[in-house]
Amino acid sequence: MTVQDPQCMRLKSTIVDHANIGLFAINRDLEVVLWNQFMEINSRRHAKDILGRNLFECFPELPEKWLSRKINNVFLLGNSSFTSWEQRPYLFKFPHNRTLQTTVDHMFQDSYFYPVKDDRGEVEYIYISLLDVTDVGIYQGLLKTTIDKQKGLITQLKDAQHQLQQSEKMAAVGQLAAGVAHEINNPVAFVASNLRTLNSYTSGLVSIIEAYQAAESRLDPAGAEMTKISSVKKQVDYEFLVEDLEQLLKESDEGLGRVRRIVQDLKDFSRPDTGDWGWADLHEGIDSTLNVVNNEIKYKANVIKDYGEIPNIKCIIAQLNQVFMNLIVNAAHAIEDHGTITIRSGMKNDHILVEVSDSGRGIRPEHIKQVFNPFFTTKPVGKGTGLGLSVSYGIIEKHNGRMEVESEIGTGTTFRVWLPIEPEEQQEVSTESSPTL
Amino acid sequence: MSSHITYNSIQKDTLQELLNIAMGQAADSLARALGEYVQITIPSSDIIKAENFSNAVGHIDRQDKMITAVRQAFFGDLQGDAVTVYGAQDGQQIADLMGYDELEEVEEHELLLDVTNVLVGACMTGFGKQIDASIGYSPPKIMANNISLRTLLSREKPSWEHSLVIKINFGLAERSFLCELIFFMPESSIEKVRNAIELFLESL
Repeated sequence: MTVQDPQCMRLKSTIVDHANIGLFAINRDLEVVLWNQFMEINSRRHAKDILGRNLFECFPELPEKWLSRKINNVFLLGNSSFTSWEQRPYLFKFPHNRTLQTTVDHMFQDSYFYPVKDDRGEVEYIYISLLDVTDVGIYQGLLKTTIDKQKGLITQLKDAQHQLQQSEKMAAVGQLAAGVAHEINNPVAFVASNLRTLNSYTSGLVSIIEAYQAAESRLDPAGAEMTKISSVKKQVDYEFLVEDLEQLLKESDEGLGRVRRIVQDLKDFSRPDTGDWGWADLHEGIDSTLNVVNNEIKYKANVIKDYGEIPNIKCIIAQLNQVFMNLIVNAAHAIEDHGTITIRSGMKNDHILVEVSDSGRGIRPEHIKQVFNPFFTTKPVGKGTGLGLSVSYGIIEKHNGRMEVESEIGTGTTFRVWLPIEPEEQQEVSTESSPTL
Repeated sequence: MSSHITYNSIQKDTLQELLNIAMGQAADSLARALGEYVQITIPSSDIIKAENFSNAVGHIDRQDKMITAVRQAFFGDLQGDAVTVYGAQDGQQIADLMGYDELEEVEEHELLLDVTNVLVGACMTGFGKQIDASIGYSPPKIMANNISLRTLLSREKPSWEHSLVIKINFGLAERSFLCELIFFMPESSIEKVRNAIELFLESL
């Protein structure tokens, strides 16, 4: 059997006709000269209705401008050409035969254009093969979905790892803080004790001097003793000294008080779930908090207090103050030049509501879900730990309350704290709670 | 470098001559197909070692500009990879020539694949004719999109030790379209090209 053998030609023709890929050919006039069974079945157009007719006439849905240019290039250049399902899912919109697959609505095809040349090397026909690659398309789609999912998971993992590293760091800082606090407490205690003693010694000395002063009248005003006394008094500026002595001792005492508070804060920071439950006035708490943070906000914002009538509630006021401090300081940080911070309070459905609103830049929608996540911060490195709101959230949860946030870019942000008057059951607060909205 | 992977100076000159003829013909048929005047640079050829891969290709322009690269494998009497490098705006420049109205990313990719196929086909078939080699082509694939050439080259690890590298630039005079075309042919093809050159020289 040779290539020209009629038997061989018949075999070739049969193979072309029954090959499980689409095969068709066109001449220079774009008339279809070959249309195999695969094309017949999938296009539902019989060869006898197609052969000899213009391809674009038979299939007006084909993208003629592009395809005729492509075909023309094959005729002109005499080189093969391709289309891939990735860029062009199909050339002919054939149904797919994956009856169980509902994710695709047509057959994916790769196509191949081949120039058939005559004896002189001129392109006489182009035959085009269509390969059904629907399965590849489907699996590629699945693969892409899986990869996207995994990318998401990897991001989550990285976040979690970052959080872990951060909490590791924070735990170390906490330990350090507790240690430092303890070390500072001892000298502060004896300085404070000495200062108290010094205070009483001083007032003793001053009373003795005053007793002596009473006896001055008995001295000769022009005598040597009185002259000496007057000159020394003048030299040390006695009147001022007595006055200032008291002031100095008072200020030193206040200074020590501040050191003690900082140490206490450090201790609280390293062990934040301590504190006593008691009935407290939230307005008092907010006011004292405002005093503490006054320095941070006085140049940034006017504070408007819009207090309603609220009863005392059962809480750990020190912790709630920490929450208010956080909200107020954050509000001040959100304001770029100068703005307003409004603190509202009131009652609704047996719950106390405290609102802190700012006229700041607002929180981006993509960040709003994360603001209560530990270590989430948009502040520059070193400016914020990203712990404030997450600790606050934990504290409010511990009080059986809840926290909400509402924000509009460019307009401002409002944080709302809802608290019951008396929590049903007082729980341990954990600073590592990781709430989601 | 052992002798079977180097060309002597006569072989080099002959190869250059064959490439000039082939690429000239390619430019000609491209001009006919596109209906525009096609500008090409004189093709350069060199045999490089795998470790010099990124340097050998690296001196073409646009090292740090964002590019799209298309790869097309060819096989048969000569085998290897052709890589075409396009700048960010190149697709837009020739959309109408290839029958496109609007060019979203997917269409742009298809367009660049098609242009690559046309360029590679024209050049390799032309070269193949000169040395009597018949060549088949795999479908072109997007190799990388919107990265710098430097990044692209740094992540490619050649599978060959030596390669014949042929470089040529294509441009369209009327439009600001300029792409680089680089052919890589590994050891077996280096040998075949040399034999073909020798046959050609004998026939003179």
